[in-house]
Amino acid sequence: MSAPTPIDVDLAAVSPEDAARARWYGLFAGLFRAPPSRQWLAGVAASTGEGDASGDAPLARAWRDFAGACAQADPQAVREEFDVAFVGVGKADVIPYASYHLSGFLNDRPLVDLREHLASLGLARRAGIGETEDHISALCETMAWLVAGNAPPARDIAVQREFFSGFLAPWFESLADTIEHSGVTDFYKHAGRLLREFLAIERQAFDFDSP
Amino acid sequence: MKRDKTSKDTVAGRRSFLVGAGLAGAAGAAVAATRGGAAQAVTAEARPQTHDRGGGGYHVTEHVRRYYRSTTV
Repeated sequence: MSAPTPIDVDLAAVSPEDAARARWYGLFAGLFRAPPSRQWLAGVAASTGEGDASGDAPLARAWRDFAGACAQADPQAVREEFDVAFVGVGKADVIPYASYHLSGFLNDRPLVDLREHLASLGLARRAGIGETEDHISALCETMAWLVAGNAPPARDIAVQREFFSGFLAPWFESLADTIEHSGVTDFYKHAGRLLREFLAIERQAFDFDSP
Repeated sequence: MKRDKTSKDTVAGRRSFLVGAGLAGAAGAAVAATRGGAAQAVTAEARPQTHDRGGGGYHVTEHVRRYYRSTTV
């Protein structure tokens, strides 16, 4: 049995659209895994001037709002907000785990199904990671790899669609609603809206060539 | 054998949709500028099909154990 190896993506090897999709998933993986640094917030705030980020498309609007939130964010406040909102069994206001939203329980059947599915893709959670595989950040990281990963079965649209349909599509609206209606989210309300808009586009895009 | 029912038209339609939605356009360019996320920790590893026996930090909870028990014939 080979030792596990880290996964990696190669954005230069995929289409521009897929490179963008992988970057988006990577952004959300990081954003929901840990609160962003001051440098990261500043980078986003400064990015609205690049290219043409204007436009009425929902994603562009959500991005402008999110960038504005980043511009005004105090990193310490964002850290505290993240901790109160997402961290801690039994006290977190938002539970960003698919199993909870799908079955009502953490570590339930949806997580079992996910682990089996990941195993069929040759993926497994890295040792030492605290979150289970159904955490929104882990699911986004997996999708980023499925979009632009540098080993099979990555870059297969059918594989991406199957994973998205099974483990993201059924619950991301519920997560976004929870974040939006939470009384303890502020910065992350904008992140949640951005996540919702992006995943809604993904869902529609997958419908284009589904059998 | 990989099943592939995508026609060139639907692939082109899907890509046009993605571009039109701003995924690879303006907002996408801004995302590229952020260079990923706040943390780089990889939470998945590629490994040949094998079974996770708990060495990766997965502890079989009582709830899951009950589920497995209930499926045994």
